[in-house]
Order: sequence, then C-alpha cells, then structure tokens
Amino acid sequence: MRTKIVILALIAAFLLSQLLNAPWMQFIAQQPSQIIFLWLSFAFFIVLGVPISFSLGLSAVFTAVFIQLPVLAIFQNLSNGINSFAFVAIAFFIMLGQIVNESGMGNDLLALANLIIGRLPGGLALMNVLTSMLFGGISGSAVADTASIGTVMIPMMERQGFSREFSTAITVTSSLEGMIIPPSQNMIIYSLAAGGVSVGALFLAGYLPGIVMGLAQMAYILILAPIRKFPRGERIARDRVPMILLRSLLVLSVGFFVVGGIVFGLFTATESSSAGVGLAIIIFVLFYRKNMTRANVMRILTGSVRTTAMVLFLIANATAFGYVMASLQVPLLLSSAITSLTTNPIVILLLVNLLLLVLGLVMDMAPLIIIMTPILLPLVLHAGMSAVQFGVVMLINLGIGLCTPPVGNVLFVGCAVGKTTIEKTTRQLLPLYGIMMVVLLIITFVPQVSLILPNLFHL
Amino acid sequence: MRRLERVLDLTERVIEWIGIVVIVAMLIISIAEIIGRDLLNAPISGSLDLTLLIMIWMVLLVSGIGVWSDLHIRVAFFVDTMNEMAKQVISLIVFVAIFFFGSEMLIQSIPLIQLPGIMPELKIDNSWLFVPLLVTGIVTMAAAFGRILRIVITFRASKKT
Repeated sequence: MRTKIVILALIAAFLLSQLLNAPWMQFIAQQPSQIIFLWLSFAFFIVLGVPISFSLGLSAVFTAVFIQLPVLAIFQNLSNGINSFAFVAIAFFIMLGQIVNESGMGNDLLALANLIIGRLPGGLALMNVLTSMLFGGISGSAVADTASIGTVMIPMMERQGFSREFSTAITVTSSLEGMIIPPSQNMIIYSLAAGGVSVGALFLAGYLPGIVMGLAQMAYILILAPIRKFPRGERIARDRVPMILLRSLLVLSVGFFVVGGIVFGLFTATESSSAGVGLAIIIFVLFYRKNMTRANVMRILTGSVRTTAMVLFLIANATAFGYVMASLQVPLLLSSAITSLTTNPIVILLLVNLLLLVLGLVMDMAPLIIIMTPILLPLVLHAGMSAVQFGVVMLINLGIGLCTPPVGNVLFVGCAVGKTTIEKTTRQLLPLYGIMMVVLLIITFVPQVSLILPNLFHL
Repeated sequence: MRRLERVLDLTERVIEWIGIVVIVAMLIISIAEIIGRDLLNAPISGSLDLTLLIMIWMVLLVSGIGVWSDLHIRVAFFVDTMNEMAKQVISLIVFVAIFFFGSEMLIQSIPLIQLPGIMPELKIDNSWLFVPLLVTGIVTMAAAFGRILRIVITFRASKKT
C-alpha cells in the first residue's frame, strides 16, 4: 500500500511541478508536456477515485490553467456539450430501457427465446444469449440487459446445473449484443461526435454485427455443451405458444417502430425515441398492468432521471476535455504519429482497435466516444473504412471494455446480480473474450457485415 | 452536521422530483409536437428548444446533487486495496477536488450568464442556458462540503474509539 501512495504522490508532484513551470521540468518540449499533463492529470484523478465526469472536467480545468486557455471556455463547452436535440433522444432511450426492465416485458422475450432454441443442448445458456439479442432490439442498454436478464437467468441456469460463474459470464458478454443491435443510445452519441453520420444508417449497420456476435457465442455454448454435459431447457406446453408469440411480437414491435421510424424517414431520432416511449407506455398499461405498481413507476422515473443526468454530465465533461485536446492539436498529432509508423491500412485498423480496446479497459463508453471519434475517424477514413462501419467497430471495442476489469460496468453489475466475484467470473470469460475479438476482426475487415443493410436501404 | 445532512437530503428529494416533472414534461412536449405537426398540421413553435432547455437544467441540477448520493460512476479498484485510514484521506482529497470544481463552475458561470444573445425560438435570454451552471456550482459545493464534513466526523469518531 505504501508503494501505491508513493506512486500517487510522485504523480501529484510531477503535475504540480509542471503547473508551476518548475525549472527541472524544462527538459520536456512544450507541446508534449502539455499533452502529458492533460492525460496524466486525468489518470491521477481517476486512480484517486474521483468520479469519471469530474476527472474529465478537473483535468480540463487544470490543463487550461497550465496552457493559459480561458477557464471560461471549459465551462462554456461543458454547457454546450449537451446543448443538442439529439441528446433528448438519449434521455428517452434510457427511459425506454427502464420501462422494458421494470414492466416485465423481458420475461416474454425469455419465453420466446425458450420457444426458439430452448430444447437444444445448453438450452438455457443459448436462451440467455438470444434474449439479450431480442432485449437489445428494444432497450439498447447493456447494464439494463445484464440486470434484467441476469436476475432471472443466472439463478435458473444454476438450478439446472450450470456453474454460477459460467452463467454470469454468458450474461455479461451477451449484453454486448444489446449495445450493438439498435436502438442504441451510444450510436446517437457517435453520430454527433462524428459530425452527423446518419443515425438510420448506424442503426441498420448494427443488426448484422450484433447477430454475428450472438451466433458466435451460441456456437461456443453448443461446442461446450457435450463436453460439460449442459442440460436442455424445459419444454413449453403447446397451448402457451400463441400467447408467447403474440406478447413477444408486441414487445418487439417497439424496437421495430423506433428503428423503422428513423430508417423510413418518418421521424428524427429524438421524435422516434419519444414515440417509442409512448408506445412502450401504452403496451405497459394494456398488457403488463399487474407490474404497474407505484413503486415500479417511481423506479422507472427516478432511474431515468438519474441515469440521464449521469450519462449526459459525463458527455458534457468529455466535450470540455475534447476541447482542450483539440486546442493541443492531439487529433492531428496522433494521426500523424500512427501514419508515420505505417501507411498499411490493415495495420492502421489493427492499431486503432488495439487503442480502443486498451482505453475501453480503463474508461467508460460515452466519454470515449466523444473524445476519440474526432481523433480516430479521419485516420480510419484514410485507411478506407466508412464512418458508419467505424461506428459499429468502435461500439464493439468499447463494449468489450465494459465486460472487462478493472473498469467494466456490465461485469460489475453481472457479478453483483450473479453473487459471484470478478476473479472467478473472469476465468470463464477468457474464451468468450477470444470469441468477441475474432468477431471484432471480422467486422473490422469485412465491411459488408456492417454495410449491407444500410446500402440496401440507400442510407 | 445533522442539520446540513437533512438540508442536503431534502434538496436531493426536491431536485429528483423536479427531474421527474421535467422528464415527463419533455416526453409530453415531444409527443405533442409529433401529433401537432404530423396529424393536426399545427407544429408547436419552440417546443424542441424548450425540451432541450429544461433537459439541460435537469441534467446539471441532478448531477450536482448527485455528489451527495454517489450518483456518478468512478473507478475504485485502486482505492479499494487501501486500508480504512488511507481510504478516508483519499476520499477527503476527492471531495475537496469536487468542491473546487463546483467553485470554478460557479465563478465561471457569472461571465457566461452576462453574455448577450437571445434564444430565437423561445425569445428568452441566452443566460437561461448558463444559469443552471451557477446553481449546479452552488449545489455541487454544498454536496461536496457535506461529504467532507461527514468524512471528518467519521475520522474523528474512529480516532476516539
């Protein structure tokens, strides 16, 4: 522990020396020292345990003082960072996720998944993955997906003989599909950060990669099933089938309504998200009334308010941080550094993936999208990747980060729901990380997987 | 300390309720805008700007008071490995840093509020966009101060025992 404190103290001393322009700091050239100051101060606050949003804001403020930028501009950017209509859509998508989560709509999707693949070997694990894909088609929040499906599936899988850690690992990794399959709030953030890439095109681009990711995880379960003697799921009585189909189609219609409204040009992203919430409320009132208790409604509303505030405050601070980075010309420097290393597009794309994966390990998704998109987009465009495909690639990279320690919100929620430790779950996660990496490479180097649907709809 | 805790708890509840009213209002305005424009051919002027403005207020206010209730996500893997004493000292530094951020937010918001300009759709002063920064600065400082006090009192109590 003493070593850790010494390391922290040394970083603090280094930052203070730079801030006060100490004579012994003169050996570092001006621009690199400013960039080092920005990132090191951010890392210092993060390690100290300052919330990520405040870490971004504080490092931006201190760097502004250091490089003599007006601090006023930091807070102007912070406020302007969320001053866009598209962010209203994020609030509504969060609300949609909360409604799906609390209303019990997930249970019908679970029954549909059971109907489709439940009787295969490893049925419950397969159901877990398929439910995440279906759930992602409405909610788009990996954390909501893990919490909602995990609460039901992990104990159920354990009772059927799956280990608790394996059940948690499958729940955690399958939530990645929820993030890629539209609607996805992170795609809207990317669309804004990329300077207005079509949200409709991004939504359509997410379907196939999400399905490929899900199928790859299912293939792994099917391979493992005879080795670990996974049981099959329970048979569903025939008379229940029509009701399951009807109710789950009703639930899925919310997702299709939201995505369809944008793709066919009926609504903007904001309008489509609010109309989606409206439709979800109608379905909730008409078909899930027994879950419409005062406590559930309050949980939906407070959860929406708190999550929206947290996510958008992160984005606001990331915009301020991004402003300082732009002032320091970091995007230009990084792209020239990478292109000076190699001009081979394959190597450039591999390096970009590696960078995103590493950053995803230690930072949350939304701020990384805001900060890294302006830096990396010109580079990948230069390497021949389209902005729409890069959106999907970025989401997968950062989504993997959410399932990995040390900073993995989805992993944390999964372990909390599964009542197990991160260490034990990580052992079960290792082969799944490998599978996700392979799918990531396929999606990076086979553009058709992402672009076939947007091209089909001329988006 | 108890009085401050009570004030902060009450502020949190009030702001949370304001947030709930705002998010419901946002939804109603947005749906009314769709119905007005697409079905009745009568778009509501300024509805989008109003939705955005009240959302900014909601986000900043809830974020400010969120310091009191640990709303914001943070990375705890480093701090969690330390002993109780070190944890408390580090928490103290964290909330002092947040207090400083709140104070900067408050100070810098004043010239921003004085900037000229009008929101064309709503026909109100641009300062309405920056006033929430000022209020959030105050709320953040109060919440961080409350947390600092709580840490100091816990530290003193543990030292006595």
